[in-house]
Amino acid sequence: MEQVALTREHERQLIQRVRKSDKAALRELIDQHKDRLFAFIWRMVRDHHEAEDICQDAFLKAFASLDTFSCDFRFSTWLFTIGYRVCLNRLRRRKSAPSATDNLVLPATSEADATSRLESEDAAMLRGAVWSAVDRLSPPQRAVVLLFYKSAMGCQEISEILQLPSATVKSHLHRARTKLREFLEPIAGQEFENNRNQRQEAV
Amino acid sequence: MNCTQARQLFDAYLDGELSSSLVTELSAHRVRCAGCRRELALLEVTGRVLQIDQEPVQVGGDFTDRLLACVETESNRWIHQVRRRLYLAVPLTAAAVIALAVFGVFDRGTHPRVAGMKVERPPMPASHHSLDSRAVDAVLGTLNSDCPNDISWLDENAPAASGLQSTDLNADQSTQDLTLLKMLQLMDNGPSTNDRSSCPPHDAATPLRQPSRDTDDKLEPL
Repeated sequence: MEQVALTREHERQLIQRVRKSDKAALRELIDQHKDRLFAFIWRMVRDHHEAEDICQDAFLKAFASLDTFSCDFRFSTWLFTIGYRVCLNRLRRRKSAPSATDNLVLPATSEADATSRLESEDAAMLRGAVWSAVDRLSPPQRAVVLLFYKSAMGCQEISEILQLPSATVKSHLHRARTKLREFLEPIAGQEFENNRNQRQEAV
Repeated sequence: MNCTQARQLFDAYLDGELSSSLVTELSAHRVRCAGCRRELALLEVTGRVLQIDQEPVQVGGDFTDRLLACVETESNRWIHQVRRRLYLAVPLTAAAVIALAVFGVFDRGTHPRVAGMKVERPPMPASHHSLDSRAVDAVLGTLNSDCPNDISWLDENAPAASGLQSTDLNADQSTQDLTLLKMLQLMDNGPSTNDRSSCPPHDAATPLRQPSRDTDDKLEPL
């Protein structure tokens, strides 16, 4: 379902209603943000159940301290900040006790399925390579890349979410791009060429 | 523009922060240099894939319902915690108030209040005695005035708040003791006639109780 972005005024009214324990407003607020937050968290932890758990935790923490939230900021920025913090804690814990992640090809949704059927082998390989490269980035670099490209946020908003200076965010983005290029260079150079040659030979 | 200069502009170019003249410069270099063209193309393609690629997983359909149920449980738990704290806090506060009241009463009883009894006190600096007298006087005044937050007596340089001070400043020990006894007696009989120009006047219907002249007369110098 396509979510229409909330205007600042509507968001402010929604939060006021949630503060007065309006259940319908609470539901609307959750529905407006759950998909984007979940997508970001899933890309960070790569585990469906853990991502849902973190998402739920982030929402609960946000609602518990809603009285301290200033409407001068975007609710999504605040929610993502909490979500990112919970994510980092889980990733730290996971380092000491590694758990299974969704590295397998998961059953795609109908729309994504249709896209994947239409795309060529080269395109599928490129997608796989890009996401594998993203997974190899450090958590802050991965977070910056995901927020910049997937969530279409600017460096200023990302710096608020990650609670880092804007210059540090830019530095993370630069290093992440350099790493991505390094990871993808050999794949793009050799494997794509080998794959193409094999197909041509087969033809 | 050489390759090093061109690479330094890659980030700004990808972020859309490059001026139009520099974009043209970079494009010109890109046409000539295969290495930079390939590198930039790889970065652009990576960004494009990240932007348009759809998530293979989505949040569960019942996520909102489950979350709402959790919110309700959490708020119930919070109410329960508040109630538990109240159950503890109310008896503790009551106990504290009772303790304060009891000790307050006992403390009052320890003052030497018998008129005519000589009180053995070490000599006290005049200024300290003066402050002490004024403090007691202010307390008396506060008890009988409409201005409970009057704290002008704390100011050492404030004009005399009561008639007692003028005798205190330069009085000898016996005069000071007499003053103290007078004060204590006044505590029993009622407030003194103080000059409280800063406080609103008392209601004429309920005038301040004045110490009787008899009481003053009965006091004998020690």
